[in-house]
Amino acid sequence: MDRKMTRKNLPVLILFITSFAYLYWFAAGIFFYQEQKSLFIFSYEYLAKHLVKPGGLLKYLAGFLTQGYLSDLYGAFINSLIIALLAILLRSVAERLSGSRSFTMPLAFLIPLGLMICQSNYHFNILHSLGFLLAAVLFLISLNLTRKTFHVILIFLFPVFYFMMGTYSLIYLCTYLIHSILYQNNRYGRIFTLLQIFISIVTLVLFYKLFLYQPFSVITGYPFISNEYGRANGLLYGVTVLFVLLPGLIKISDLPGSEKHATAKSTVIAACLYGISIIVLVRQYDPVFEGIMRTEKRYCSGKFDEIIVHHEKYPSSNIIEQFYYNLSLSEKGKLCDRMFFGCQDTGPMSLSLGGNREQASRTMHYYYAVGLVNEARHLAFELMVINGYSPENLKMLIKTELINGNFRVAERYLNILKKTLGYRTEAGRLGKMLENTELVNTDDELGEKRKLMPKDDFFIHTEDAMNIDLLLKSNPANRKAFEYKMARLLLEKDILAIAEESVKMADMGYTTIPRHIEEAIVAFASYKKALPDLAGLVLSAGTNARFLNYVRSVNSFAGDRAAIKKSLNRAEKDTFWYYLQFGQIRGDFTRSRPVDRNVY
Amino acid sequence: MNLSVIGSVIFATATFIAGCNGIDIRDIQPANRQPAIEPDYSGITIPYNIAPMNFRIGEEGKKFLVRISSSNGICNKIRSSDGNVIFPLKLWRALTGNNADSIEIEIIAVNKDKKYIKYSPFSMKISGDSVDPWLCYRFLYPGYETWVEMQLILRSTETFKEKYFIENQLLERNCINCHSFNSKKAERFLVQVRGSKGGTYFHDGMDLTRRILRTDNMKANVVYPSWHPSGKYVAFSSNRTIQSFHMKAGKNIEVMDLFSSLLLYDPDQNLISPVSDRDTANYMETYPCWAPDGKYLYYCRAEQVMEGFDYRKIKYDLARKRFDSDTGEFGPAEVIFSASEINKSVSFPSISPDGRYLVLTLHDYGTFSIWHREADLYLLDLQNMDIKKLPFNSNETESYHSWSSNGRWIVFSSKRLDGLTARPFIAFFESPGKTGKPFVLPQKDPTLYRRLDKTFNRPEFVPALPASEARDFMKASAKPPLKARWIEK
Repeated sequence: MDRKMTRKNLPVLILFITSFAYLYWFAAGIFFYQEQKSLFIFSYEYLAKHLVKPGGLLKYLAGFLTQGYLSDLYGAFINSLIIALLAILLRSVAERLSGSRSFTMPLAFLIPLGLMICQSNYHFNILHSLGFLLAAVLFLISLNLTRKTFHVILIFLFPVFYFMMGTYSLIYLCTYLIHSILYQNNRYGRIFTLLQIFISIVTLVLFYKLFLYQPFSVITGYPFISNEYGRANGLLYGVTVLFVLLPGLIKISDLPGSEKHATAKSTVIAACLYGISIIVLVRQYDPVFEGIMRTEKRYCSGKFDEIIVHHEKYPSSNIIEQFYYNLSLSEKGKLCDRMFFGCQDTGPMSLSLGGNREQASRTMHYYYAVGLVNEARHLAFELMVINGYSPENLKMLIKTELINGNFRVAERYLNILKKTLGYRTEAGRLGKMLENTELVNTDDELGEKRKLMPKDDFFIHTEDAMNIDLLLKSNPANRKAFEYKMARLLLEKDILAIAEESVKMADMGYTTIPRHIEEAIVAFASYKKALPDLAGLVLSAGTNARFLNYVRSVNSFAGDRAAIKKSLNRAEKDTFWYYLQFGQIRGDFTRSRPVDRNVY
Repeated sequence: MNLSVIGSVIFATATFIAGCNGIDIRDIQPANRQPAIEPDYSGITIPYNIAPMNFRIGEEGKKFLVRISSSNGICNKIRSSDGNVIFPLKLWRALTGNNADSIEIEIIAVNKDKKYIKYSPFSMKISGDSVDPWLCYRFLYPGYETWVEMQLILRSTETFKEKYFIENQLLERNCINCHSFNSKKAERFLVQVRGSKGGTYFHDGMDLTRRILRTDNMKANVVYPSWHPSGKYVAFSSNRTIQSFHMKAGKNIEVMDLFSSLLLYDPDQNLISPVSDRDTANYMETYPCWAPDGKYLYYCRAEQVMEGFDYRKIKYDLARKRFDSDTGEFGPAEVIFSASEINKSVSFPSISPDGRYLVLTLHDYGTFSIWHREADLYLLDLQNMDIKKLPFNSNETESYHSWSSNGRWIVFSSKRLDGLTARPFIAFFESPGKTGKPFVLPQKDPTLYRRLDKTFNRPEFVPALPASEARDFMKASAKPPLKARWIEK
């Protein structure tokens, strides 16, 4: 008995372990990505927002589960658990329909395997797995109803299922109808089928015409089409078709003769399906996406040093990673001291992502970092309007309103953040600053941003270099903006402009010149045979010596660029001079990556 | 109030409290001040048919006893454990009906130590002039550029009932713009929609139709509408608008017109024509508003901006043109309030139903007052052209306003509660010297405004429910739009 049970449950266990291992070790970035896309709020308003669409409650439940994605372990566990449960339920369905013939068993695993592959896509939402799970529960219940009264009750409960599950209740309905047509040949079966069709049509009409103000596409397609993945992914559609046709497929596989060598056949088929799934999963693995998510997660947690150390150890040529590296350097006041310690091959675009609106969830951090607090708030607000609250846009709204002294608005946002599971502590910390300008001023982060803000008004411009110029004109003491300006000039290799701008540093309170600016000044001096006006600042003693060493090293290869690149040591490569000589800027970043713009 | 009345009130209060709760009145400590309540409904003037003025007590306490007495003799009490004071509709009607002219509310808080604190009572004046039963407003995020959800809502002023007049989910998430009801024939209205289902949706009392009013002869789309009282015409302004984002703290958005002109539309003939005169080329004209007798078209105008203009120097004056509704001809422009002379700018003129007063928004510069914190409401007496700041204003934005059908109530958008989201405030108006303290539209949940992150845009009183609802707009949007024809007069 035990051996039989073990053999029966082994495929489910393998499915669970495979899914868990893949999600936890190779695709954990998905959890951060999805956690950042939504914010579950324990409030009536949040629930009410989900009640205006069919299937909104399913989305609400998915949101509830998604809030735990702060932990990768939890994310991998819950997703794997759901598809394992689905596998168990569908196996029961197959057993119920085919009388435990083992040949039908692989069919029951097709759908969970398909969902396991779907899960490896960062757009895939747990609501789809939950939807199939609930549809399977309903279908299994309908198969196991022995009394006609219960069957009628189930049919009359369809409006409730529809309201809760939306499209997934329709998927259940289709599966149920196919089953009824193929398996229910008695009089009652036909009556129940007709009754179910009638109740379903009435339900759809009532919800469309009376209860909900939604277009027909939402009435029939929500929450299946609630995100990009559901709208566009062929695999998910394939899984859906399989689910609907499952009773038919079981019927076909159950034809006379199929039981011959059934165990062996089913084992081979199951192994093949499993093998194909593993191959697809391996091909789906995306180290670039994982790298971006890891960096972004560190940034959102304020782990700027970790980003700097990681990027310098494992330089990435991805523009988003370079953007966060530069941003982290800026937050630590080291932008012009260390930027060439990391990879800068995407050029000036990596400083602000060119103000790209499709990257607003990232560029808002840039505006916030340099002191353009109103623009950071603007972008955070736009993101909230389009996508709803997310942890980062809500925190940004709170911080920017506190900095601007709009305490009443900040309080409203804080009250929302307080009603979340993972961000209550942050809400508590920020909440202390309400109505306390002094506390805002003395806060390490907010106080500093307040000092960086423009003193005079101007309009934000689409050209970010111009925004920095306007900001510096309005607040000449803003060193972060100044270093961003200098970083842009360094990346543009404009040593003449750098020399011209360097005169401002003394007035800004610099006592030493940042390393890379010094390197640019030395390069300028070498080119012009004269130092620019540094308003009293002096170059550090070692810079000239480093430059001479660098020149000597380069000259020793008699212009063989390949040999130079190969032979220079790390210290020589981590300089503006090396970038000036060898740095090549790759093309438009949006064309440089293979997948979609939202992530890359 | 004489001593005997005071004595009676004290006795009645003591009896009420002691009788209801077995409290020793010696335990009650007077706070010697009125309680903090949210929204601030103390000292306001309300119409007798307004919805229950639910509020939240902003004082510490485990329990609250609220005693309400009306001048019509009705007296009752409400207990609250969470500080929210919710009036049952039936009780509220009893308190405000039967010619009541005021209600008085007294609050006693029971704190953690079971000590009783009695606050000084506050009152609400009740006006016998009713307010229109419906309020129409656009409900959206106080946003910058994007939108996803947007509704035009009809809210009952007498209860808390709400109806979706337009739901943009049914219109492919298009942007719902200005709405306008004919003041004398409420069954006639129009709503502007921008996007794939865009156009001006007209209801002529019978049918709802989608129309495209922009013709090749026009530089920009029609924007701000005003129905002629006869219902025969609609005046529009056609505006080419841009917006920019301020970077200094305290300011958010600047919306500016690069060009604007006035147009006259005849819905029956489907003809649109320019409102031209010799001055038109030199001015930007916007915010048309008909006088109730239909003899004048009021509007705002500023000198046409040129390239590289300074937006802070754009100042709109209030002007008007005589109109002959038989011929459809306009007279010459006449400036009746030169705001630019006092370094200010005018927007949103709105005239009382009797034609005597005009309420306008005055702000430092430009045309889009809702993002101007300094924007305030002013009253212009059209008989003697005296202008006066209304006592309804606050330190935050006061803007878009409209009159009730009987001219006794003005509803306006105010951002006074948080500086960001506009809320509909209603104020009593009898004459420049006789006005009431404004109150925010009451909600079933008195804490709603504190939580709500959406804004109430362009509130307008509506005397009766329109004949169409949200799904009718969807049906109308599915049909090919009627295209207006241009005619030069």
